[in-house]
Amino acid sequence: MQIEKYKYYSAVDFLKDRDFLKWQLFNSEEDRLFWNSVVKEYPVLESTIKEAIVLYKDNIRLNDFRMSRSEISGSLASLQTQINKKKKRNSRRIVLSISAVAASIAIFIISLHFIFNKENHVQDIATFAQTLPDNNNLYSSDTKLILSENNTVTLNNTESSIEYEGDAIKADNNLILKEESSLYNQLITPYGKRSSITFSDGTKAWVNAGSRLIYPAEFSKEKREIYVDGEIYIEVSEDKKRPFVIKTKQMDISVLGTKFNVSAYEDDKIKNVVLLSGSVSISSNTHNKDKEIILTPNQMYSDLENSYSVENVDASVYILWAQGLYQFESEELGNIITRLERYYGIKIECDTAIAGLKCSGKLDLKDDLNKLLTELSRALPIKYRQNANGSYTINIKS
Amino acid sequence: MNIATPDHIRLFSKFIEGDNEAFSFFYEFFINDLYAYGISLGGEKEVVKDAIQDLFLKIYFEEKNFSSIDHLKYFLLKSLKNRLYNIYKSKAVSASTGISKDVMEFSITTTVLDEIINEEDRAIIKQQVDALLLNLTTRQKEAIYLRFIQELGYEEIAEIMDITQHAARKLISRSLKRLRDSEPTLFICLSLLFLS
Repeated sequence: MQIEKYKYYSAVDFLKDRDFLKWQLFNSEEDRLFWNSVVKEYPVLESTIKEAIVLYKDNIRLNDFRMSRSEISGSLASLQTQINKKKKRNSRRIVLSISAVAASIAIFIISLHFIFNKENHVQDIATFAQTLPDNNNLYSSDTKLILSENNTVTLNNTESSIEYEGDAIKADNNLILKEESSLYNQLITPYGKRSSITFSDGTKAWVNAGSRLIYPAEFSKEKREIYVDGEIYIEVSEDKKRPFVIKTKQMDISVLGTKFNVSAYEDDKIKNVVLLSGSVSISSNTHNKDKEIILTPNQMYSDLENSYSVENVDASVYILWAQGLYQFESEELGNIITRLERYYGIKIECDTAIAGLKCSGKLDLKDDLNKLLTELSRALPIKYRQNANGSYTINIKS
Repeated sequence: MNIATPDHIRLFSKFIEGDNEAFSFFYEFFINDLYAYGISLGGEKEVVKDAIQDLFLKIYFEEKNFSSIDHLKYFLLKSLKNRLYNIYKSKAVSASTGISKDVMEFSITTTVLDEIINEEDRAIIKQQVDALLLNLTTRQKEAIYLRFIQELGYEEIAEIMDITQHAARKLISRSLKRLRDSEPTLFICLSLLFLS
């Protein structure tokens, strides 16, 4: 091995050198001695070699196969469901001890303003949803899990997690017995909060800010139905015998086992469904009523007031919010601001003169809103200020 | 291998006691190591994922006799390999192809991330690493992978690959020697290319 050739090497040149790569890969004693001698001969190379080592460590991977974060949490949830099923079979005693713990946990109770019809067990979920008042719970400061008319669990984490497992319901640090809940439960995630929920069948949904979810505590033997007003990303557990139906005011989505995002905020003009994998069929409640639209992966269905469209998209972009990221491409600033308002639960007023500005980019929603707006105003001809009441106003930069 | 912080050690003893939260922690802690090893062995994604689920389901309900986090990792890797081997063996039989060669072949794929390095340089770097590993047998690749990527000891590698410890050492030192010897040959090939 000649040492002279390294004299004028850059860090990237080292990465292209097989001897250097071999040293980094296998770190043998022999290689270590050789590279020590290189540095001894040319001390100026020391920093370049150090830089090359950092570059190597940061950039070169062998068999770098990974599951995505959502895949991992999805498979952990399904493992837990399997464990619980097996536990139930294995031993009655374990279930009993969990019940004992659950009974001793205090539950926050608030009175509700709607009438809950406990007797009528056959009430359809969409009908039930319509009977609920248009409450302003979405502006509350806490996420609420309403189990029955006199049993509401208040969750004050920014990101809450709810799991229906066997006989119990886990909601952050609360453990509640399922028998304490009535037929339909409600999860209200206000502006500024997010939550995730694992249903009794192992299906997991990530719920975005300003969303209301209604679902039965236990799915029936024939079908699985939930009702959504807002946005969720959902990974449906496969069960060929029981189709999973997601109902919204405007459309119904039927699936067998798949991953997709539904955005159906009542106050958004366009509702859409983006499919990651599997297949879903959609029927609108307002137009083309008898028609079923089948989506294939990486397609987006958009439901407008009285028509619809299907286009090809990169579906992964649409679920980034579940990981706290927001990516957009030639999106109007006004729409971006609406999303940020929901996500952070803070009012942002946007001058109509700039609401139509088209923007592309990616925002990290884990940052605080101030930092985010500073970044936006660096990229766009806008300026922002915070008002005394905490809200923001965005104007054109003069 | 993985640096065990006091937190890890505390979680590990809770894991042994059968604590749920610690169980979830180690599931997430090891899942990508297991997934990567399963895919490297030639397993299909869904098959590997299912095999990992079965593995953890079994562990959950069994006595956890692990002496350390390293021991747990080694046990998981070994069990995953056995499980995949059995799955693919029975598949090969049912497909009536007969098992003439190994049901699983270990391979190594290089990835160069696109942080700062430009595309052309990335291609050359990848080519250089691939060239280094080109002359290794599948068993040598697996041994090297377990030693330098998963950072297992020789004793554990020997167990996983079903050979003696001495043989494991020899396998790896031969691989390293082969890496050295391969260079002149490649150099000649390259010069021939330039001539033609």
